[in-house]
Amino acid sequence: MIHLFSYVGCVFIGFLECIGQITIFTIISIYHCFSPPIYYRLIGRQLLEIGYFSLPVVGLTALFTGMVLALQSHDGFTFQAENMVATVVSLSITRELGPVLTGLMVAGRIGGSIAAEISTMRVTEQIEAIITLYTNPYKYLVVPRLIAGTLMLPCLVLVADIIGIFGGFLVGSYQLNYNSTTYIRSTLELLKPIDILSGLTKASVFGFVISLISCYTGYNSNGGAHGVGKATTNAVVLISILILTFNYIITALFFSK
Amino acid sequence: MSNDHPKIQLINIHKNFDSKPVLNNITIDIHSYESFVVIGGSGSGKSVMLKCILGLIRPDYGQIIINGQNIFELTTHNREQIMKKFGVLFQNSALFDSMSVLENVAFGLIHGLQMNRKKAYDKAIEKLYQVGLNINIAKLSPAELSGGMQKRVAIARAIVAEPDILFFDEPTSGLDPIMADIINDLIIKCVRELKATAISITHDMHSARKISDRIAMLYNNRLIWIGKTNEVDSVNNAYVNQFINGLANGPIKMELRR
Ligand SMILES: Nc1ncnc2c1ncn2[C@@H]1O[C@H](COP(=O)(O)OP(=O)(O)O)[C@@H](O)[C@H]1O
Ligand SMILES: [Mg+2]
Repeated sequence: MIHLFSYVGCVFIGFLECIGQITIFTIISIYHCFSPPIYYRLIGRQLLEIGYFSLPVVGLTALFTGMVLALQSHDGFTFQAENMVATVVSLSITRELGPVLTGLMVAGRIGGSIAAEISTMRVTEQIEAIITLYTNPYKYLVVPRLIAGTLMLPCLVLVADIIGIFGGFLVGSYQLNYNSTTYIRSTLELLKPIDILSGLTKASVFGFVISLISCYTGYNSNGGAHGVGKATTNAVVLISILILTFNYIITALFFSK
Repeated sequence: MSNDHPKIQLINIHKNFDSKPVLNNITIDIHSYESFVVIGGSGSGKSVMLKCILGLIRPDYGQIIINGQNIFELTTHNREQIMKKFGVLFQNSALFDSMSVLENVAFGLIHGLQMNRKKAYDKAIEKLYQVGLNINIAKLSPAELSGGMQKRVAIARAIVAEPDILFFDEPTSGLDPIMADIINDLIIKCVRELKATAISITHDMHSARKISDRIAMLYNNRLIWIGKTNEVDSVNNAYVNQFINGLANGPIKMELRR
């Protein structure tokens, strides 16, 4: 019994310690975002890496999600199906599925690769080498990814919103034989700016979380190839959990009244 | 800066990792312009000691004084100024594998010292030439080079900003004897040309004798001997004798079983 308590206590203290370390890491990183020198060229490269090269994955995810949503919700509505399906598709894509699915896809694609890259640099002493070459590793490694993640995720989600709604429209007008004018009109009428805005806010937070956590786990890894594998897994798992948690919190802030 | 003060002083350095001692009461003075070599078996704490001097690892207690200043009491800015006088060769070269050889060598100039790219690349090519490498490897990635060439690139990267304290962590490990000797000559040349103070780590006695003015030996987390290189053969210390002659029998017992 005593063992159980001490075990739970240890886990709890470890958890608090981890939160504390992430907080310190976040503060240092944000500080370095605003103090010179800023490496614009590296930020540009990360914008491309995180934003542009994620487009195919994000686009395909959104397209099929929109299509399947239309198909599934069609069964639920016998009355005014056109209007209802258009609403369901556009609201669920812009508010929830666009940001969350984009976040999770990018977490797998980018979060894993950032964590693997930085932890490999850690175990091969490349981070130490950066420091001894008079360069701050936070500025060089973390800041570009943090900025790119925070800026690019909203852009990706905007694209996902458009493609997802378009996917719903395709299924609606070609497979379910809706009147396409009515479908487009009800989509545009019912969609409010706050739906899109809340989605983009989420996206920005998710982008920040993806970059931050993957940099953190990579930066603090140790122990050779095994450590790299562990850092990568931890990054993706932790990011996914945090995305779902923050998704709830932001939704509650925007819509619970 | 007067010359009778040591360039680098380690005073009572202690370091534990998870309550396992790695450095135990290390005190060393290193003078300006000397080439100092630390020898000792694997795991005796040589790299950790080097990283303490570099400020990458903070010792549990003890002081490290460089140019008369305690590096752990300086402001970040002043510490960075001291770091700018360092040039480091890491144990496994630690080249950036995502960049070309040229970008590796120019890294410190471009990102650390904000030099303009064109000038930095010219300087990097000059340094590659100094370490005996040709311009046509400049565009290759480090993974495409042999171990000896990687070491040279790493040395070029270390000396590119003309530091006055050089650190070499096992510069000859993993190289064939001829390449090892070429690297030894290169180290001697760099130290001489830069008028630098050098601290090297090795367990290659041929290399240690060739590049050093003084030698210190670490064993079991402690400093067990320190003295002039030409005295190392006449030392009356069984540990040192066993190590420099590479004998299996003697007071040093390898920890094969725990
Ligand atoms: N970051 C670290 N965390 C925990 N233990 C470490 C760390 N760095 C080194 N050690 C331990 O310190 C000891 C000395 O390591 P090191 O200085 O690398 O030896 P060497 O003399 O071969 O260079 C080793 O037993 C190693 O396991
Ligand atoms: Mg070592």
